[in-house]
Amino acid sequence: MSEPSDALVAASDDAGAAARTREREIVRSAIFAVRAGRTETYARIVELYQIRLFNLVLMGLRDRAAAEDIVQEAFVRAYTHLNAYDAQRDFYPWLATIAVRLAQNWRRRIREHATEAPDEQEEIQLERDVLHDVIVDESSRRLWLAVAALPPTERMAMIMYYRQEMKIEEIARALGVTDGTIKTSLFRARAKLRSSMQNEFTPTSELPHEL
Amino acid sequence: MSCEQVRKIIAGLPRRQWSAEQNAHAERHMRECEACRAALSVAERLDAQLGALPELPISESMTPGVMAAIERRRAAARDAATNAVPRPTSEARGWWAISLGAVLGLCAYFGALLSGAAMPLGFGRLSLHPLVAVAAAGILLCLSGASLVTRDRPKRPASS
Repeated sequence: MSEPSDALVAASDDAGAAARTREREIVRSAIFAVRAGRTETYARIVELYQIRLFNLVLMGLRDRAAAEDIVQEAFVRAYTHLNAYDAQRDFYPWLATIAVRLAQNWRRRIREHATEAPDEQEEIQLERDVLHDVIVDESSRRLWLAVAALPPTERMAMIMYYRQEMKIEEIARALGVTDGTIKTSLFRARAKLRSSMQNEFTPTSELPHEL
Repeated sequence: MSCEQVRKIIAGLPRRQWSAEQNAHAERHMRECEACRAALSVAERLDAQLGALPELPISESMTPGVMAAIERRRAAARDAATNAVPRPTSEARGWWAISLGAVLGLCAYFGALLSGAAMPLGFGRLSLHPLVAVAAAGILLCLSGASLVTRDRPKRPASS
């Protein structure tokens, strides 16, 4: 493969590593301050992770209002259980696990109380208007909707792996499944996305055989 | 490695998850195979676009909302701690047990005296009398009370 592209990947990896180190520093100092009694410093952690966590939960639930409630509750729970957090590990996967558990419980409650199965297409349709305002690029919008149309475990795994750069074992822990299940979910989800985004990614001249 | 095998690797997981061995085999094959190079390029474009998937904004009131909720929980926890009825210590419970045991013991003793069935300082022939059970309960209460009283007391260092 081409060397310039490899150099670009290496540069982007370096930038990613530097950003993660900075993030760890912010979290470590904020947690130290909170444990020392300065509760207001927790706002720094909320500011840092709120959008990331919201997009994860939103992708899981596809309900903006519920996602905001769950994100808020997840931050509060993380605060009240801060003593259980192992500072040797990254903070975000721990926080994401709390949020995913809350989201799973929410889905379970909705399913138990629902008189009929929810209309998946209708749920996604609700997001289209919001997406139009936020995501200008048509192709990105289509991809977002294609990811949102995947089954819950697959779409959560996709977001955590690609968008939030979590490791496979961290995703497995958060979703309460095995590493193998996550690998299978990623494989299936990629195949589905390739198929639904075929025109976008596979001009006939470029790819003679289907993958 | 055949095209089919390389396509399986490409379709399987993103490239950063490939093993060193898979990477080396695929790399060697793709030097010669334009179709597999194209397949990898398509897969990498999808992976890159997924990595840059746009994020939807969250309500601006999230941070103040979280901090207010935390403050409410802390206030509730403080109130609960203030209003909670303090649980008596082991020592206090021990003394209560000893007192109750002593009262039961005295009741049994004087009951025996009044009924004329026993001599002072002894229960004589009353081995199956209900007063014996009362006296036994009193003794048990006194013993368990004594154990509660002494449980949390620091032990004296052994004298040399």
